[in-house]
Amino acid sequence: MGSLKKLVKKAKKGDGEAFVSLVKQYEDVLYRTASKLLNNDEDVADAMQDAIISAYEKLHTLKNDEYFNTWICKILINKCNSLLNKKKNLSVINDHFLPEKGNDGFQKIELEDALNSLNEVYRLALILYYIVGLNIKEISEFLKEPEGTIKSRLSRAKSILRNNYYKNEGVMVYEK
Amino acid sequence: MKNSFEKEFNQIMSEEKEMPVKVRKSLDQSYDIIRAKSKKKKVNFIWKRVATAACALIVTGVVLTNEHVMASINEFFNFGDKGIEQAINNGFIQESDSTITDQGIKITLDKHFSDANKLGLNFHLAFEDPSILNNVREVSMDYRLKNGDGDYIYEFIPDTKPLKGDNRYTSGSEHQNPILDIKTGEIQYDVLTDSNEGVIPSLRDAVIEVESVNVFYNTGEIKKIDGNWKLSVANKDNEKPDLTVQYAMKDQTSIIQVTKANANPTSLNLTFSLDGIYENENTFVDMKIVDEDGNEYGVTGFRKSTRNNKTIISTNFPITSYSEANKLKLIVEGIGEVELLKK
Repeated sequence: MGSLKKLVKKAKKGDGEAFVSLVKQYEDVLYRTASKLLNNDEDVADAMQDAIISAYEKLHTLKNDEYFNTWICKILINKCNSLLNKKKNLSVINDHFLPEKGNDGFQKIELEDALNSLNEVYRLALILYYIVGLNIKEISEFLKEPEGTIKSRLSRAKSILRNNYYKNEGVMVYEK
Repeated sequence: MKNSFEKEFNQIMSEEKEMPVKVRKSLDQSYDIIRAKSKKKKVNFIWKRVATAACALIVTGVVLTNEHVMASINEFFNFGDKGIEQAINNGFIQESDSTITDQGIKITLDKHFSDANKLGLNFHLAFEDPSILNNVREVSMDYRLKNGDGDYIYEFIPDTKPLKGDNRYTSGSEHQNPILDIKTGEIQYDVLTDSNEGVIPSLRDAVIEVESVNVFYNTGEIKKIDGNWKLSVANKDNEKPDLTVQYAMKDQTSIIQVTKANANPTSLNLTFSLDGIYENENTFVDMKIVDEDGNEYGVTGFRKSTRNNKTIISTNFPITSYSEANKLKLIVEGIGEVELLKK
């Protein structure tokens, strides 16, 4: 943490190299976050670039240096959401449940795919909790939703995943 | 086979994924952009409020010696460098008011200051055709500062143009546009340059040669307007007595060996050496000077070099000769401290 604060301090003074070091330490979480929210590598690359440059330009607005990681992650999530909103005209996922992956019943559905197909409010709650590492209170502040809502989203998200996961287990067994 | 949902779920949420080449490239490109921006930023920064103040002074036609105006300048010139604020409050600023018009752009060098450590320039640009500025994001200039003896002190020139000097005096600089008035075509362009080694020569009959005005648009396009603007740099301080105050180590056996500590009007330039090679630059980020009253002064940048198995650091602290401090303490966190006494 000491090193992070030092780097943030340097970066705030305009040291680009310090900023790059900060982001590099955290790029894996950023990548995993973006890749779970977006559907293709191209969008992930765009959102990450957009978020990183935007964070550099807005670094002076970061009030508490210790929260750099959460702060940049929030910027990234906002970028991902903008990108998703833009594309909403093309495809909308309103169903809370897994989409059918074809009628043949032979298609393999993995947990990863199930997660990717989850409605975005549930997916975001899981990402913020499990990948970004925010607690319920922080997620509630970030999404401007009551803590109870966040708790139920997390629980519901896992329940959907679990149900679909087991629902498709038979298919996999049959497939073998 | 799938009897352990929780385990697999946690695995998926925490697994490290190899980054695709496309994302990797984009990230590396982002880092390059930031490094470039950082360089530009460093070549820029501090003059925002200086310019605003200068502009306000032109409008009101007030001179700098008035006490009331000094207070206003302090407010306007509050660009985060206490040393420069103090210098300006003590009248360490020159009014040039040199103006040239070319290509429909009138460029004025309003004010400037310089000592061995820092150099500030405050320009005003007026566009005859303000429509050029529609959707403008930033305006900068390609220019060179040439001293009366023909030596180029500082060149803010893109890589596409050759340098005329050897760029040995300055470490970095920052620029800003505190005023971008599209309606009137008025632009303020401010520059602060510094020298970590404290080697900026005194300005004598210096000239600023402006070669291009660059207009950056929000769309990402750039309009480069080439021209020829030569602005003379007045320097009445040549006649003033030497404003440098020197300090020396109290304890000559300190592990921090200070070889130079010169307080000038804008800052204290300091060079010290340590035995051994310190690879990690972060070691020096938090070094500071503490004065007799316990006031602390940090740094915004420094130069690190190595010679004969020694690490040498050169930097500026925002404490000035106007502070008239008799005793200062240099503290390098994690390494040690050394007391400095006025010579």
